[in-house]
Amino acid sequence: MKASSRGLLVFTLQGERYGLSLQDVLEVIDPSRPVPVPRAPEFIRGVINVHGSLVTILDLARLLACGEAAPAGKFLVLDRRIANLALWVDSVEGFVAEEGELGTDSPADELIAREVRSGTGTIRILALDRIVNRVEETLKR
Amino acid sequence: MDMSPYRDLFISESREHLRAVSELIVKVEQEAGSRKDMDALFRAAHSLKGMAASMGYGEIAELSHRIEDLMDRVRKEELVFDAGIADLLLEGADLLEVMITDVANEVQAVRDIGDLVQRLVAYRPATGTAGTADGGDVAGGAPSDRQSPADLLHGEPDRHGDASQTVRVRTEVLDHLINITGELITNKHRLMTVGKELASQPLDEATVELSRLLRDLHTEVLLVRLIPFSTIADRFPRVVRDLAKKVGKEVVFEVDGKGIELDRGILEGLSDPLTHILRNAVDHGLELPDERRACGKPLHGRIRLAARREKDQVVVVVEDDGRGMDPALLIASAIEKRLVSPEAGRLMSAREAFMLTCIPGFSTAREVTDVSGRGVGMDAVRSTIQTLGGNLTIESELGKGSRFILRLPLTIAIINVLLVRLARVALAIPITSVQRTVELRRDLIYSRGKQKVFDFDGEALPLLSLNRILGLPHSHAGELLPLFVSELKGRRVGLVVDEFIGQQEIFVKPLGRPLASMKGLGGGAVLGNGEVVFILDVANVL
Repeated sequence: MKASSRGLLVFTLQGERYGLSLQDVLEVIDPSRPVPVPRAPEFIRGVINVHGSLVTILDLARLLACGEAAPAGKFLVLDRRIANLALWVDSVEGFVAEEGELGTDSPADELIAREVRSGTGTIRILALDRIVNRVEETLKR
Repeated sequence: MDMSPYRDLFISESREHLRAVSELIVKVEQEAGSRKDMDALFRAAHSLKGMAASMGYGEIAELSHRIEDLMDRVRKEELVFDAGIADLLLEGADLLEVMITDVANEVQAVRDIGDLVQRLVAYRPATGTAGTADGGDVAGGAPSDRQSPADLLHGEPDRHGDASQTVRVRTEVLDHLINITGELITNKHRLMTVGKELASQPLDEATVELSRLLRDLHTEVLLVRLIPFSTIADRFPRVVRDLAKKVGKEVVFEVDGKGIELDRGILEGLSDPLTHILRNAVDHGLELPDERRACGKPLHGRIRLAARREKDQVVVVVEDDGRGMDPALLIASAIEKRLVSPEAGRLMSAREAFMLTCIPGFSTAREVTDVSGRGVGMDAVRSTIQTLGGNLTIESELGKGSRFILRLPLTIAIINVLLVRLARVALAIPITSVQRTVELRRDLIYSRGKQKVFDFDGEALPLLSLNRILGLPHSHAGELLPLFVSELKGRRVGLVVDEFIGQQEIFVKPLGRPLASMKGLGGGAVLGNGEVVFILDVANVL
């Protein structure tokens, strides 16, 4: 799954559209059953083996407190430079090219970096660094 | 000409020379230096100068040059190697280290070497202070016995002899190599699983052959990653010397087994714990000279750091001939700090009492010194050692001294584990954390206070459910309870599991960010059937 840099990968979660920079996603794979991590918070669904690396599955819906991942869904494996994480999302819609100046409203949720207007609706762009930080802080406790 | 490919080489080689310089300075100072050591010191400074000059690092070359000059005056017996020279040379070595770090970090820092250069050039021995120490004269003295046994043991730092047969390899390449080997081992287990299902003899034969080759490959790869203990040990004489000076103690420090080789990763991890133990030995272990005199001990305290191989482990021992520890006092102090209950305290063996020093919040230093009474304590030391897959034991005799014994695996990436099942989760326990596995008859369990205990080696050990600790449902059914004996917070306990699966060699994979921040997990691994298991970091699970 290769694409030029300034594109967005758009996916859905509980009927809402979210986006990530294409550069931050290593690959999209079908869900497999993760091995649960003892004592981990609910939004950590477990760990899977992706080409020999251990990758932690983050249930994005649970983290954003809007339900839980659809069993069918997809795993978005993040670039390892960001984290050893895959996001469990409901479905992948596709790619959109990101244009110059787009929606700059500062969203209420700090885990959303910004909102982008696209066609008929908005796409919420995730603030990955803050998501990873929040997960890390929770795990340390 | 682009020099950058040579820069890394310069950095690693010059650091090697600097390490030799620091070590030799302390050695020459302590042992009234042999001619051979002084020559080696001179040569190391000389090589450093040459390398720096050819790379265009003028100031490093200049400073090395002045150090070389001063050593030359000592060699020509114009000067006697005294504590003043040692201080000056060590100061020079420190400044050089800073400057080389600047090069490594590509920082264009301006370091003022003028003052030090001036003092190196103008050095004159302070009059009337030569030979200060009463009794054994540590510093000063003319070079005497030129063929002492220490000389014969001390290898030539000059390795030009075998230069044509060695290559320098970047450490990342070595890491990559062991990763690939680990993957191959995982894959071999996969093939074996498939082979069992297919019941094909040719396939079995091929996998057996593959196993043999992989074992050889694994051994070779591990050998490549081994580096000698001296890589870290060479800086300890300096640490001990500086601290001893600061706290007014006299110490003879010996290092044995510098040639013993360990995995690079383990060795790097050992540096901080050993520094801490050594600092403790100087600061708390050894008595002040007056106190030693009163006990009829030699004025110089003795600290020995020794490494040796024992089967597939390396044993590192730090021992001192200081005041030792009193188990009764340690227990009383732990009870007072409410770290253990009075009942538990009464039942404690001396060995367990010494391990109390490794409980977070326990420090018997009567006053907090700025040397070792604060910050990372023995608890950090022990958990670091356990994270490296090793363990720590402490022995001590009141009035005679203490011994800290570290047992470490030769390699870190591939470890032996006990696989257990808890609820439906498979978990790997490093063998180094397992003292014994037991299948306990239920009628041998009895209560002591609120605690369920069982007798083990004449000791009543508390029984804990690992399922409960990890928040998993427990189903300890059956007549026999599978458990393993391990150490938690300095106390031996029996940890009950649902089932023993067996013992296996696994290739440790990092959990990475963010899962690595979770306490009690020491990594993960993939078994031959593709199943993911977590490695329990027993020391930090509570």
